[in-house]
Amino acid sequence: MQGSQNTYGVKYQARCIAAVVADTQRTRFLVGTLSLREENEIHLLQIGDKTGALAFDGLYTHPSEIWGLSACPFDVSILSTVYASAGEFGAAIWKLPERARGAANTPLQKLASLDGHTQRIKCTLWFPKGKHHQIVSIDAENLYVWDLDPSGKPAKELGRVSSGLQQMAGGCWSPHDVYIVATACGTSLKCWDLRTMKEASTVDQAHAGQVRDLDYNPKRQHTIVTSGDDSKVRVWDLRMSGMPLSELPGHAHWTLRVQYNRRYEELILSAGTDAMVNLWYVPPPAEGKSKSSLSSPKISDPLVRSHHEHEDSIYGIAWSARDPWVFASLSYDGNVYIDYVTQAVRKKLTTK
Amino acid sequence: MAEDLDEKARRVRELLSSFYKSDESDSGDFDLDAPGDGGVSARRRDTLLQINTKGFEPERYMASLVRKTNLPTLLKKHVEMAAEIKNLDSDMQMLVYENYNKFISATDTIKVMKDNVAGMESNMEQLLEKVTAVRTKSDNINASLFERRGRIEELNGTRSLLRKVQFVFDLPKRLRKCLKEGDYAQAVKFYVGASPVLETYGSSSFRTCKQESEEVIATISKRLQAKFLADSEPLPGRAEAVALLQQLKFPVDVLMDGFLTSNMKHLLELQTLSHKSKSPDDSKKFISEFTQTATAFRSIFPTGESRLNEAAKDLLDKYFANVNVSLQPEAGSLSAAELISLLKSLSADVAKMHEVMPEAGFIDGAIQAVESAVKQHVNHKFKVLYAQVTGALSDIHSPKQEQAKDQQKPLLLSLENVQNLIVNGGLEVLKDLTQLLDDSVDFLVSWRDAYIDLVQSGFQEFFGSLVDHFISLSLASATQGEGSDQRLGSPAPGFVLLLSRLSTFIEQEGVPRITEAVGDSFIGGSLGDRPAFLPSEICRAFRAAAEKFLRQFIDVRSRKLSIMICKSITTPNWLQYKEPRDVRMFADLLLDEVKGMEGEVKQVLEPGKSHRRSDSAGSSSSTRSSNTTRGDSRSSRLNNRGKTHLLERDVAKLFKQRVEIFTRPELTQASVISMVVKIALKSFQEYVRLETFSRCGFQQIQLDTQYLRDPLREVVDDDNVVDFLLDEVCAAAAERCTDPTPLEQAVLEKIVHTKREKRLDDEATKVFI
Repeated sequence: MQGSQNTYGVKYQARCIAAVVADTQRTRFLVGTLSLREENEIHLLQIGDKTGALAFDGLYTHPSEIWGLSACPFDVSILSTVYASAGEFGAAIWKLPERARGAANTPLQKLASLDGHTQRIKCTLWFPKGKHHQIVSIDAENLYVWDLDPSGKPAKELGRVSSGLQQMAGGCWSPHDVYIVATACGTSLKCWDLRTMKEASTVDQAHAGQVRDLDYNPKRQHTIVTSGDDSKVRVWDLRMSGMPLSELPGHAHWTLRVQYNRRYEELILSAGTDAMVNLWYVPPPAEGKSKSSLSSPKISDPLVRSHHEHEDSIYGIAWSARDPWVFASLSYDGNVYIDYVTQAVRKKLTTK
Repeated sequence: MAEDLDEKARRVRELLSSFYKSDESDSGDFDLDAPGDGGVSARRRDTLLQINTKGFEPERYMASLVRKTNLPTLLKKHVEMAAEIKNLDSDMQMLVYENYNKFISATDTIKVMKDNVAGMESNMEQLLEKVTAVRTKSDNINASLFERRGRIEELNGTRSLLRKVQFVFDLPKRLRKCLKEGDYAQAVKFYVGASPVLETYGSSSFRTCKQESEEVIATISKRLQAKFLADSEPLPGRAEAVALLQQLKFPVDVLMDGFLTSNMKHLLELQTLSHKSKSPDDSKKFISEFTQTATAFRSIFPTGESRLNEAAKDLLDKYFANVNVSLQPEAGSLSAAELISLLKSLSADVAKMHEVMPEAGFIDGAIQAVESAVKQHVNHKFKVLYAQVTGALSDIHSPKQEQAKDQQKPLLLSLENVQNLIVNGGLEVLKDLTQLLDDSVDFLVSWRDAYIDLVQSGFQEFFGSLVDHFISLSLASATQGEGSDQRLGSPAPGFVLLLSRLSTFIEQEGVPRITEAVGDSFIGGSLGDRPAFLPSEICRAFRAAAEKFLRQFIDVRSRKLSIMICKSITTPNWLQYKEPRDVRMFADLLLDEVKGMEGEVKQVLEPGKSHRRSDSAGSSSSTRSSNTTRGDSRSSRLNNRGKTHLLERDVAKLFKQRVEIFTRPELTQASVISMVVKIALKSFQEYVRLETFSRCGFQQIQLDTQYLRDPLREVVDDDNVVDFLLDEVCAAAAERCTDPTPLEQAVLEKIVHTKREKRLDDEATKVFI
């Protein structure tokens, strides 16, 4: 299964990688580069069905440095980026153009831009369920909700909410409740209700430093995993915000990214500035005791795989949209690595 | 008569048999005579012999006789036979006569009896007649007396009642008389006899009588009580008084209680006195008093043994309470020697008391008391030790630390202090407790094992709670640390480091030493499956705690540095930055912070291995050269923009050894400081990567890193790491710079030099002040 080639290097430094979520037939990733002085690119990568090798599938030019990238969940060819270069910043929705054969660099087709941010934008979030024209963008202080007009006009702002003094670093739209968006807000975790544009729930002091990333558990409505500058990875139940459900040692320096596997809630992927990608196995909280005793009676090390081929800090990780056992990671030096969940863990998860 | 008959018959038979015997021998002669015809002779003999048997056949006898014998013999035989027959006849006749006589006398006797019986029958008839007459008469009397009998009985009852009433009426008089004579026993007997009547009729007919007698009895009882209470009275008298009082239904229990309480109080006073003075005389006095009291009580209240036991137990409890009181902390810390002397006197006392009263269970009680006393003593010792240690720790931990800052090395002092406390305190406790074991009191011997167990588990618990205490302290200080990140010089991180060091110390030195000491004197024991003191378990806990504290220290310290760096990077607008003139303020603050940390670390930790420092001049030149090459490469990169960029970077990386940044920290000065610095510099790099710089901004970063380089190299264990990381920061800034033109090396060095001099001056003035 492990292909001959499971690495790919983009030419420039890069921060963003995203799985093409809408495409469930192929494992594809988008990588956005971060080059101050050259023209930036978006690379479309694909894992070959037969070869299992990571291959280049398309190259598109992007006007500025890409600081954030997310793929549209319902259209294979649509993506949104957060960009900035030398004082300018913004976020936009793009369409991958039909590619003419032979043409190396095709410019992206801009569908809409999210104008009006006064701070550097951190990320954009697509509506989590089905085809919908709402999109959320988060900058350091504000959260905006936009309505996308498919006809190509600028997106209409539906509302905004300010986090106050705390710097927001990222967010996650709840896949369980479409009115809730969770954000990493300074050292705490805050959930916003989009109907009232008010704070819905909060976990204060989720981390000792800045909270860097967070992700909703795909199976449990109130469970969120967070990571932060204190290098820890913590799993929270929003209803019990005093103590984390579990705490993972995380990384040696900041833990920048954390993501649940979409199909198996036990798997958590994290990456950090120590150039490591760690895969954690966290058994679900003991509701069905019989189940857990059947699978693993002994307390085992939660770290089931550690990928250490990267040489620089890792700013992007992504699970494959098609194969739950595949994940990609991107380090600052532009190297993408594909890695797989080990057989032992797969067996543990599937035989349950 | 029958006997005579039997005798006679036997005699006749004998006679006959003797006769035939001789005849037989005669016949033998016949055999000899006629040898030729044996069979016939035998037959003949048979026939001849058969004369005396039942189957005798006279015909054949005759025939054979006639045939065989000759005439003279036959004649002779005839004569013989005739004589014999005659003889037999006379014998028979005699027998018949004898028997007849007897028959006749029996018939006479029967006749006499018959006559007598006939006479008796008439007598019997007479008797029957007389009895019948008596019976009829008696019936008559009964019938005639029947009517009056009820009346007579009634009268009889009345008479006895009247007698009793008379007695009751006389009672007061009699009682008084008895009182006068002092014959209390008689009086009580009267009163008790009369009391049922008084009880029943006291409210009506005999009111006055009852009152009077009761008055008298009250006086008597008072006198009796007085008599009982009088110590001068001989014991039998007092015992009698009590018996009488008991008969009067006076609550004797009260008396008993009174007696016991007063005596016991007295005893207790004596005991307390003896306990205080600790002189054997007092103790002896106490014992003798106790014996006296017990004997007195026994003779006075023969039935009150159980009460006495209770009271004695009570006394003993108080006695032990007294002992315990002197064991209490407020009575001052008691040494084992004092405890031993106390226990010894106690054991002697108790043994004597036990002789007096074997049933009271003094020995059991004493064993319990000793056990509890020793337990208390052991627990107390550990508690005191624990309190000392935690107290010392909280002294360090408390914010009062400000004054202590004047001292040169407050952390070092307190570290040594606490270390000493733990080891010496522990050993002292052990020594103290060993004394108890060696100089064992009688009671101790029986539960030596339990005692050893107690001491061992005491240590186990002590260390266990110490670890817990450390962890709780570290948590508290951690939350405090988070809240007061900005506040420089907050004692929390240093304290955590101290805890880490302490834990390591306990693991590596304290526990082994204590274990050794325990092994010396407290071997065995272990009532359970495993020994109560498990040094390996404790060591493991402390090791884990030490690592945790170290991590925490590094986290807190590096976070503080990271936050300073973060502020310095995120605040300025790097795109519109002005020409750098000087190193920024934050670098000094950073160095101060590192220095502060260094101070803490150096106090608490061992120096560890020496710095892996290459020749400083050479390294600085190499740094410079690498810088210049870097600058060159950058400019070249600018010139031919494009794909060579990445390749170049990779090639550059190839030549640089990959430095392991994140290693496992050791508990040494250099390792800990390096770890913190490394993490901080890594954060520096990451913050820089998030910004975009103008040329001037980049130059400022260059300046700052250059300034930091040398002082940081001083403190870490591997200066390559600092070089590498600071180069990385610079490189990151260059990458994020729109126009990465580095500062002229000369300018750079000049600015850094002036700044450094200024800082040295500042420090000098600071020290001077």
